[in-house]
Amino acid sequence: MDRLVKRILPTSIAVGTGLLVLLGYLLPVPPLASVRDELIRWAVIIAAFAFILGFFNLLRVHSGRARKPGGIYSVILILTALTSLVLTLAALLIPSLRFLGDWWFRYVLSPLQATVAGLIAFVLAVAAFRLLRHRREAGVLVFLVAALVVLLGTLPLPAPAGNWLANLRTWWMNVPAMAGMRGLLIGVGLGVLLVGLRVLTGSDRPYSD
Amino acid sequence: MIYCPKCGTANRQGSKFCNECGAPLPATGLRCPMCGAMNPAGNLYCDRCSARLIPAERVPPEEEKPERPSPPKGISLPSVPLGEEEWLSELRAEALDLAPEEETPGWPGELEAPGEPPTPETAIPEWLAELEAPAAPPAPEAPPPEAAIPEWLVELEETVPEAPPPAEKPTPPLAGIPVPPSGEIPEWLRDVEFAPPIQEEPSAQPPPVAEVDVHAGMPSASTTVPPILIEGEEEILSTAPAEIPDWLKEAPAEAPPEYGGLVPAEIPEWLRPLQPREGVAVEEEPTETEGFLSGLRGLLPIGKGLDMPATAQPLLPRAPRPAAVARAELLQGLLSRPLITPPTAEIREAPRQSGWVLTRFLVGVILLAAILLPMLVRLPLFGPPTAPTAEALFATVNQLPGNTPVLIAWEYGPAESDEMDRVAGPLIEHLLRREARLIVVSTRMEGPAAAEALLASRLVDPSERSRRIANLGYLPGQAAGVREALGNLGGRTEAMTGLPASQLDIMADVHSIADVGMVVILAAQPDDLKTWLEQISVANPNVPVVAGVSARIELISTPYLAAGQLRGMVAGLTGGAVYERQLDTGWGREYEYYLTSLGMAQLAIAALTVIGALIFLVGGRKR
Repeated sequence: MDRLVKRILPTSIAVGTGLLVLLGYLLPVPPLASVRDELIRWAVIIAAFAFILGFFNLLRVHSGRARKPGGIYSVILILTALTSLVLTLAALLIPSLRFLGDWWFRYVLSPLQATVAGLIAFVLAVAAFRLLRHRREAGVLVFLVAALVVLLGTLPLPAPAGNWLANLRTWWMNVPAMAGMRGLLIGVGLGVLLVGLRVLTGSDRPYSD
Repeated sequence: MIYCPKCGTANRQGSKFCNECGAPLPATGLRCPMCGAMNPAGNLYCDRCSARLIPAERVPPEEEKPERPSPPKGISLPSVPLGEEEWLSELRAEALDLAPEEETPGWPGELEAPGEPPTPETAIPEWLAELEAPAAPPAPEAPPPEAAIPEWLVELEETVPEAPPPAEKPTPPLAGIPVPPSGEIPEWLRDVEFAPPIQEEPSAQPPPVAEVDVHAGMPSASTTVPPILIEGEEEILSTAPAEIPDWLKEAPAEAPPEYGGLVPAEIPEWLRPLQPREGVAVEEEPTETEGFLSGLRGLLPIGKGLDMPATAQPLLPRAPRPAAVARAELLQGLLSRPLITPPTAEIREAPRQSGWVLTRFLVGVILLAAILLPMLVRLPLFGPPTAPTAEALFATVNQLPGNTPVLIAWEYGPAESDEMDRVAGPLIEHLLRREARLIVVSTRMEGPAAAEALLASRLVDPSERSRRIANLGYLPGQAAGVREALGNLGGRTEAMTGLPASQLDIMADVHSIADVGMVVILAAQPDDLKTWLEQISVANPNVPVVAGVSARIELISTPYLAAGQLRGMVAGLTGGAVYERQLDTGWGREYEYYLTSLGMAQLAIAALTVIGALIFLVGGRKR
């Protein structure tokens, strides 16, 4: 019974659903296309409920951490999450309270997220400064040169140095960087195809233990 | 079956009282003199060890009669007398499967009746006296001798010649047993209580039989067994004086010279360890405290090998493997090393922490100065930016017919809005200028709010919002959500007003991706761009797609642009500035500040990278 619930049933549902959606794309005849669209609609609804579960799971986890040393951050997280939830619900239910939600988003969430994102530049600058502190390999030197070319080539520096750096950057972006990126995209595509086939054949079961 | 001695009724095996008359039934057990196991009445051999329970009747031939018979040691398991016949020794060895020389059953003491005068101290060793069983209850009245003699024995007497009589006739205080004169009877044998004597005919001479079939001469299970007193039993099985073996009749004519009738050589080997030694204190046997045997005393401990399976093979000593020897030597070496006291964390971390803090402080100061300085002082360091892709995108949008529905995938949030707003702003304003109808969706939860903030700033007349903009909100489910939205745009709900999209004028003729004239992807993450491109290429590959992306994913977007999946792209702040300049929206001064600060920050980072590389190249590598 346990095997049926945990392995056989989820695998059957996943493989059957995947095959139906795939057939709907390969043979877009009315019955298969309708079934495909309906299954996709179900997936969207389930994903929405997953977000709700994730929200409450977040509250549950940090409720436990709030009672431990250093739990002040968990308390702040819980209060912020509940405030966002209340303000959003209020804006949806009472249109006259929408300004509260806009204010919360514009003056609390946006500055906080922008600040955290801005730290990336500072961290990258420190890492660039200490790049050769631990490793001196050929790959590191190539990376260092490429970073300098892209950084300086993007700048609208005056000629003739600016033009030379801009041309070097353009060549770098169109030839080696493009080749590497296409290789990555092809690899990602093949990986997605392989993973899809493994899921369809039941070899991979990420939905069960 | 057990037959009642009173009424003769057959009773079930194990019954203690007769079902017919209620008379007590004789005990149904015979204790094996070898292993102590109880056996059903009538058994000739022990069920456990096959030892004989009832002594075989032997009448040695006259010519083989020993000149000096040894005193009997028991009724059923006599020891081997000195000078005994060979056939008798073989027969006993066959029956008992033990060394006949050493056998001395423990039950002779059980035959000693209570109330008899004690054996003199010198007659029986003290340790043997302790082994004697408690006194047995007095024997009941024996049946008449005539009735006790079984028929088969009578027949045997008729067919088998009797052995010659012993040299001295026993006198009858012992029933049916030729007992030597009272002065010659062993002390221990006097205590045995016997049934009334049997009148034997003096003329009956035992025939000289050399070999007798034991089984043929023995009584069957249904016949009456000879009288044997069982320890702890209240009844006597039956009384049959005639069945007392003849070898018992061969009691010694004269008392043994030593130990009151017992010869020292007859103490078996297995009994000798039990003999108490003088001067040695007897230790009290421990009492079991655990398990189902708790409370019992004298339990034998688990012997060596008893806890091992029968199939276990003994471990043979063998040479250790080289790897094991090496590990042992390594362990020994580690243990023999002197202890190294690690330096305290404060001493090691202090200089490293100060250097790390100083480095971060200097980098932060340089970056801050590079960003703020252009806002304070106009620095003519940089010329006008160039972005060919942005110029191509501007041309594409510029050809867009008026009132065209444009689907906008708003895939960035507040974290990327400082950059992406400068990328998306000119493009959105250009679309609004082209009288396009903007349909906004997002797979990020904060996307609709970020879109609403920018749209509000770029929309000249807010009253035209409902006619120009439809924010359809968040699409859960990543790729599935995108695919579902592309096929069902008209079935969604406007996020700001809560109205169904089908009721909006802007969505009157828009039901799916097939009704859209252009798709704009505003993405700050590479996965969002890929997802939208993949789903649009399946849903409607003919719709033109353009993108506004962050500088971070410009490189990964370039292949799609080269492949034609993207008709145009504006990337990063530089691309936005180029688009802004072509559109001339009046935001040029702001873009100039941003571009100068960005350029200064990029120069600072490049300088820090070079300086750091030189420092660590010259100063050496840290491990």
